[in-house]
Amino acid sequence: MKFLGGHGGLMRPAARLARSISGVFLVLGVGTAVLSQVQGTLVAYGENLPWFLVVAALGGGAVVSLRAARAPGQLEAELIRAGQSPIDCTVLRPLVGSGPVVDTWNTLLEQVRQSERRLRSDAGRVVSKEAGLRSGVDDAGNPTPHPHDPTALMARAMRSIAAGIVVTDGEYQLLAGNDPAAAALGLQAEQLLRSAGAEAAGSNSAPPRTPPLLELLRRLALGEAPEELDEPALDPAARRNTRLAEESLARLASGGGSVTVRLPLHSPAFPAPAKQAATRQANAAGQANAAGQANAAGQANAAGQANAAGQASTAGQANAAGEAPPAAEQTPRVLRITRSRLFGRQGDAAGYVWLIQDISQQSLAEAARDQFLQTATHELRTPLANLMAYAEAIELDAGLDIEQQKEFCNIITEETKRLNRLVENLLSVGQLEAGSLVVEEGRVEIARVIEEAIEHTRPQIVANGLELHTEISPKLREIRGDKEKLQAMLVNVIGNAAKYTPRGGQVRVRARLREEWLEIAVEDTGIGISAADLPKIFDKFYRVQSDAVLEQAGNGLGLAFAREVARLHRGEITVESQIGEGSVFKIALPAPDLPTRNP
Amino acid sequence: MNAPVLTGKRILVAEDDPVFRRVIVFTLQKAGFEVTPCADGQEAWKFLQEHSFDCLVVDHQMPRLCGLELAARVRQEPSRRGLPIILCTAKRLELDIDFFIEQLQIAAILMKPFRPSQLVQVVAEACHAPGLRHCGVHA
Repeated sequence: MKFLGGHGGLMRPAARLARSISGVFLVLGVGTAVLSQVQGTLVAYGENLPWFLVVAALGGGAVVSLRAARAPGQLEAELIRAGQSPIDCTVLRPLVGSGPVVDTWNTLLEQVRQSERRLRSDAGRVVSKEAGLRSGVDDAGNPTPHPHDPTALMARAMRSIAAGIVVTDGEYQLLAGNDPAAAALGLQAEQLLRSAGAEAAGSNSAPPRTPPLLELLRRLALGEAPEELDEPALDPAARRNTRLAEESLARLASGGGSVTVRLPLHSPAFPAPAKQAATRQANAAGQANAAGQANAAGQANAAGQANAAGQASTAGQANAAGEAPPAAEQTPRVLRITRSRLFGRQGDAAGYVWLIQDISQQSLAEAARDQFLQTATHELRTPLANLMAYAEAIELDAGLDIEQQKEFCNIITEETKRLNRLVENLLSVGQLEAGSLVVEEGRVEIARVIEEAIEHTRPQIVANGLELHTEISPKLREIRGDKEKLQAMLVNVIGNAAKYTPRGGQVRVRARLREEWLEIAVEDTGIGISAADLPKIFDKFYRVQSDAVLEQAGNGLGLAFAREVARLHRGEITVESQIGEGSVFKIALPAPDLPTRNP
Repeated sequence: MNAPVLTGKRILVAEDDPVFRRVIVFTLQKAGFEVTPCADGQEAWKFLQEHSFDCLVVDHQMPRLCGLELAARVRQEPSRRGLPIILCTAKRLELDIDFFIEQLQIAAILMKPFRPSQLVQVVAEACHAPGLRHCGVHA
């Protein structure tokens, strides 16, 4: 209780606000520090136990039961007591109840849980390194803070959390923050410190202060000077992002308790007025930054942390040089921000604690899913529109001759088939997504499957004005596998060759037996695939971002499906390609000599 | 369809799906319009440079030049500010209808699937009062 009991006397007036906020923040911070210490003792008890088991096992020392929301002061006191000796440990549970502190505590516990791995690998360092204040409270008389100084505890706690944490006063001035927060805000850690130091010391001689947090966020989300844009972008996604950003900022600026928002950062579709070359450089930094950050948040390992810190300074430098904040080229960054209200212990100060997480990776996955849904609904509506239109044409038009009527009916039949094929594809995709694609093993006459796949795609090849060559070895024997899936895979691969080969080109399908393996090669003289895209083309939803590709209908799933089918047959699919010259897809499937069939 | 008073109105239809293009061209011709079909926005843009039309029917998603880009280009030419544009689309989620009606002065948006007779009706209305924006959204 040493620092708690004496807080009135120990604190100098200038530091009062920050100290009081850090005191409340301690409620949040110590829990993590306690965990770090538990991790420190972990070495003696076995490295591989999950932290919560160890916490539970050692929990006899000082179990604090946090069932109901208690007065923040009491909570704090208990946590601090529990944190004083590294041997003691505490079972930290989510709090039941409502109110800003409880909300923040629970969010923070969740964060700690997610940072489990990093805590383990980092525990020794974090515990042994006592210095390195981030709170900005200047303890001039005490240059090396006591290990249990609330400021040091808070600094440690903040360092060990993978999510960005920022503490501001009621006017959104930065008081404290950790490295991931600096990275997410595109600041250098020193900038965060500087503003904090200036604030805490109350001095006017400090270097220019970093702008208030809300202003920083506004610049990140809307660009340096959004009002200079002449007209709204045509791109609906960019407009939606801007609108969402404005709403989010408004909610963050409003009073009240806990607020959680998504804040999309401004994308190139909504460009900031900046010099070309500089922007490109900044873009590179931004992309790396987003990746590093996602790493730190997602995997929360030591490497990810180093990454995030390193990138933060890169991004920060671009910023310091007076450039626009970095915007990633194709992956606009998205932050999730939780703002909770803090009250001083004696009601004499108020501020906010902000959790800032980079959820770009997650929102990228969501965007891919949305994109797929949109493509799918579009693809489904096209035959539906045709069905309705031709049915009405027959219904309304008495002047149709019998031939036309027949023809329209044929079209309706064809469109129904098209619709059915789409539904089948969607089902496979669903299975692919769920990882529940199953192959039904049977004996497959593979030569026939290949020929049927070719017949299936021939109309497309002919319509695109391509030459088709086939070399199917007569020695092909039966293999074990799923006839339907194998055929669908081949239709996808041959169909791709037809789709991405310009008129006048060639498509060549070869199949041969080589020892125990069946090899099928689909070769085209098409547009080719760049080295950068090659490793990704088998990924779900991935489509090469070029006009030649995007003008073709596609959902980015054909090759993902093909790879899954090849794998399920214990085979593989590979690709070689040269931009502008063509591609060769090679499928290898095991083809052991099967015993002759019983008559 | 009654009241075929539409003879001679020239309609440019840009739709990439050949099956659908055929049926809307067929229906519009039956209704008495003079129809020029094309397969994408680029082709439509070329036709627009060489001929004049009373109404433009465009599909939203087309290769090379999509319906909205085409509409934006048309609106940039002062001489074509008043040309009625009707947008057909199979997309729903991402379409910000108010914005397009406002910015590009789209006369009507038809959501696929729709009945071709609906198209005939909005084209007829657009041709008869080209200055007046119809603003109807037909779902």
